Amino acid sequence: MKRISILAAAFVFGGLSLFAQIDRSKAPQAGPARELKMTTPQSFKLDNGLTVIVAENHKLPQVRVDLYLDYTPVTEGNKAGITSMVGELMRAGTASYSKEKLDEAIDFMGADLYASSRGGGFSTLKKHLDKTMGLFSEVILKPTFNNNEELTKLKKQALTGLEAEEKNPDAISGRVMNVLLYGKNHPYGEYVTKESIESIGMDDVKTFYNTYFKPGKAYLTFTGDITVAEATALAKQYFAGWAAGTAPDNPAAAMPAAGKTRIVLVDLPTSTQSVITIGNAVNYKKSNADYFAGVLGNSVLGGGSFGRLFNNIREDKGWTYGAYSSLNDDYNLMGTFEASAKVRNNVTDSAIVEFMNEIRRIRDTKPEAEELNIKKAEYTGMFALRLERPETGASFARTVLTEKLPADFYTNYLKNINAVTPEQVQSTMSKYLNVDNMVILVVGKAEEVGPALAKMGYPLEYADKFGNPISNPAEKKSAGDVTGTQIMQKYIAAIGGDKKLKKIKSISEKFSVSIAGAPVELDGTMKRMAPNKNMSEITMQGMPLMRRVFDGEKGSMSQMGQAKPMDEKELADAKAKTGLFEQMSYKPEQLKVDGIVTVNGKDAYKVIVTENGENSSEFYDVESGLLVKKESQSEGEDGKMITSVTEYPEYSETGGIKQPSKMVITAGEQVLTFTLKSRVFNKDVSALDFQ
Amino acid sequence: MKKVISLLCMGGFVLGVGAQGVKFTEYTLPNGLHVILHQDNTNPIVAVSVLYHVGSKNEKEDRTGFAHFFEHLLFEGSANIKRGEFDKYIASSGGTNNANTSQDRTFYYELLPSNQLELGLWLESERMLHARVENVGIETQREVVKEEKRLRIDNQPYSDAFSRVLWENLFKKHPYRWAVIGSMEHLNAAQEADYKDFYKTFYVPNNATLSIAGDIDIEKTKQLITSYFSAIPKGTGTIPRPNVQEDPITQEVRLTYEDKNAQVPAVLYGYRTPKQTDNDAYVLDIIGNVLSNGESSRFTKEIVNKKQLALYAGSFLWGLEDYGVFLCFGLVNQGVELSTLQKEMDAQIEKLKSEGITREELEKQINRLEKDFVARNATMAGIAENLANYHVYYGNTNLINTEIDTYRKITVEDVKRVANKYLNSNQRVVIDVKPGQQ
Repeated sequence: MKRISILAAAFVFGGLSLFAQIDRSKAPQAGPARELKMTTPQSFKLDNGLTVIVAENHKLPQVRVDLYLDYTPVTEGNKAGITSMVGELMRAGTASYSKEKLDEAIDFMGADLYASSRGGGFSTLKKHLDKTMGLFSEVILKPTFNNNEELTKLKKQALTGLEAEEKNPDAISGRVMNVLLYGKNHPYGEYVTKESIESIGMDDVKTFYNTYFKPGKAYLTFTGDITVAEATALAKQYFAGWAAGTAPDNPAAAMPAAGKTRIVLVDLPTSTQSVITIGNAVNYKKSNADYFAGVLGNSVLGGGSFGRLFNNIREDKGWTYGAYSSLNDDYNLMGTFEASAKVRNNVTDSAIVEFMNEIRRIRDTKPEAEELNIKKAEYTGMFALRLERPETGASFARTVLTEKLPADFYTNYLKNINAVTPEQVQSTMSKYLNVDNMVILVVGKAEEVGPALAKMGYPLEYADKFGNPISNPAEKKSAGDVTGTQIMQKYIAAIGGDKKLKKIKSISEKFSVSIAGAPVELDGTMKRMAPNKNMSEITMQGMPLMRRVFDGEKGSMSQMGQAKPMDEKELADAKAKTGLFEQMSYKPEQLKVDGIVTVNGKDAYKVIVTENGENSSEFYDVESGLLVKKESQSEGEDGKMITSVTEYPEYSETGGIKQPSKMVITAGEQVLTFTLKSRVFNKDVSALDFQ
Repeated sequence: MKKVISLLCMGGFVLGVGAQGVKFTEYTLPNGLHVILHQDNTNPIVAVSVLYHVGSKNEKEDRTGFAHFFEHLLFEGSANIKRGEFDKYIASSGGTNNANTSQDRTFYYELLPSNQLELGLWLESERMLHARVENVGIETQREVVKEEKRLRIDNQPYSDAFSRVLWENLFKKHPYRWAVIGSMEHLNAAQEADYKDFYKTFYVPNNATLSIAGDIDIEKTKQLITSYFSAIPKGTGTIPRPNVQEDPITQEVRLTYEDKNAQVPAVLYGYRTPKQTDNDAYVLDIIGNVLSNGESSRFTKEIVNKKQLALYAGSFLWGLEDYGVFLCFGLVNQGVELSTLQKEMDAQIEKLKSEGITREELEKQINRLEKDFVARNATMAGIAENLANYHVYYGNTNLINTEIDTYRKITVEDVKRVANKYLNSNQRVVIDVKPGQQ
């Protein structure tokens, strides 16, 4: 017994010391890379032209089925937004199922079945495959398009989404970049508007469906625990009845000529950072001989957190949270090269210099072999990880067919990646990165970033939020010798005149208030009484959210019933107002005319108003004399300065006096719209309202 | 002699479970590290994971947030890994990694090309053997965690109500009463010694499960594991685990919470339920799905779609090691009073209690669970995590293949009984969340 244990102990310790030969001080070397086992899925065509692809994988008893319609990109035109609704409307009722019955049946299988303008798909356990396939073919082949409630719901959601994006710099940047590169009538350049969504009717959706849901260029893929024979039988049973036909090829509008490298600035006055996107359109396809050099070249330049852009602009300079680039292939029309980052206002020009330096460097010099090898290793690993999902194999098979690639494109993928040379990277990047014909798009605060951008040596152009060229929105034209007092007099005359205004002792207004992107509708009340009493309140379903009140002497601000008295400065500001129409009491020395600028496409005088030592800007339409915008700075919770902007796009008349009937207040990215419901003068207001 | 026995145990046993099951090998190293291996050579990738059996419930009440803090701290590096380089090793191999913390556990994983298995073992063994637990990293990660709290909790609607307020009202004694993110004051107040002590107590092989799934050779992997992990010393102290019984809740606890991030009023119900290994927990899981999983579920169909009282209405069981929480949550639709929505949610719960559910509804739920159950094992990362969970929480790793049978045994009578036992208004916490200042 003892002998054995000694022997065993010797083995234990011997074994341990043997194993302990590892050197902990550095990372272990990678073992030899195992060759990827890639099975080629089977594919065949049904008589009606539908291509069926089967990627067998019997590890788990589940099957995924996808239908993909490979029609060329559609120009949606004045119905832009329609493609996002087609699928959900197909899913909202079929020949044999109401939406409710369909929901019930789909849930019963536990299948996540969906449809879209490009087809649809579901996943299911093998044992429910036949039944779920039946439901899927119903949705794809027999939608009734009679659920108008669903259409109304989808349009409402789309409009809410659009509203939420109104001041979102990323959304603006993406939309404008597409317009600049592709043109706004091109399928990749067009964008959704309120009008285009509102104009979508059920007939449009039906027409879309009837035009594009054809088996001719459609691909039905089966992935998972299924044999070719089983898939063939199911495809025939459920989709052989799909009437033959092919979706039309869609002509795409010509793209704008590239032109010289230029900066395009979209003004977002509330921005504290600039969204920079630099790029050009590229004729880059997977079938191009230099495809793999492009993949690696982009990875060296701006792929992930170890690319040159990231190292330079984030790690080295600390100007941004991330800087990346992408080289996007497109087999139908045109792809893009884009490099982007978000940076603080005051380094916008410096960041562009660094971007352009890096773009030039990867064109002008070949990367070090070591730098390229690291990227090859990273790419090899990522490719293996992607293959884990059986769906990847199926989508590879489909891509080979739709993009007309050699059958061994994906089996040779890594071999080709690893064969790329530094010289090839350089020549490919100089081919695709058109450093002399690029768009440098900046979405940011024109007033702050514009002057520095103008000095960079590139032409500087301006565009609105939809990419239409405009003149410099921050540019000031001379206002001549007009004085602030004259502008105020014109305003007072425009809203009704001195005589009428003096008779007004109080104003009571009710508004509906909406917050962009939020589904709630709030109520707003404002009451004012001469000389300076005022109260404003926002409620939700009768519950007060915010209330600000000033009775001439003291005031408070409350949120959710918790009141906070006004501080000295706020009180001084409130007391300084000496009339319901403050323009009547501005003194000449308070006003400074700062030229003529453009507000929403129209000339307006910019007047800097100084009150209690603080400046704000007011903009008066040159033609009508009306106040169209106010801009002021305030300190936010975190000590950062926030610019808040109030726009007055509409006025209405009550008793011969014009007042704004719509106000849009923007603070940071939040947008509140006040729409007037009622207004009365000299009624409905008492001193009690201000306590 | 003990060592010899352990050594023999290392031979392990391989469990075969039919064509579709997940096969695995498991054994325990002499230092207490439990190892589970699943071999699947289909693709050249491997998931390496370590589950430490420490979560917020193992914290001291004046040092809350430690478990989650460690999830961050242990990416700071080790004696052999420079600060900030942990992630770089993984990214440059083409892999991905992440970690997460719950009330019961802290879980780390790497997904790597399989020829980098050794890299994963090196990184995880470095973390277990001699991670950098020192002031410079502590300071850095304190800021990162504060930023995470700002991002995920302080600036997210309903987040504080869900992760903190509900728990402190449902639990009075058990450490589930505090939020996983814990208290920033506690983290600030803690000294380097507190952190070192936490590391020595919980980050020991005898409190860890190493679970590996993917393109491996079992025998070679065992050798590598021995090389990297067997020299890590076993923890010397006992590992504190709470053993606390809560008193039953006998009267509804109702409160209003003002949430500055919320734009829509909401209501949140929480019912305290038994631990996740209890059979009734399985039934409650079904009930959560009956109420709100899928377009045809009761809340979604009746409250959201038909009556349009809510933008969203959901329910689910949050199962844990010592207790569970059954949650219901409703967001009112425009123009609807919160009380109207509550009445309707209550009516649906009461209907379920008085009438139960149909056999068809139950079958629908089993179908869905069965599909999810299969799908959860579709990836190597999923398998590695499930194996570790079943071992640690249920003491039965093979539940990865058999747990669905427990659900299949559930009857419509069980559903009615369990609903009546736990989903009573006098046993719950109700939080009215209103937009506002907090």
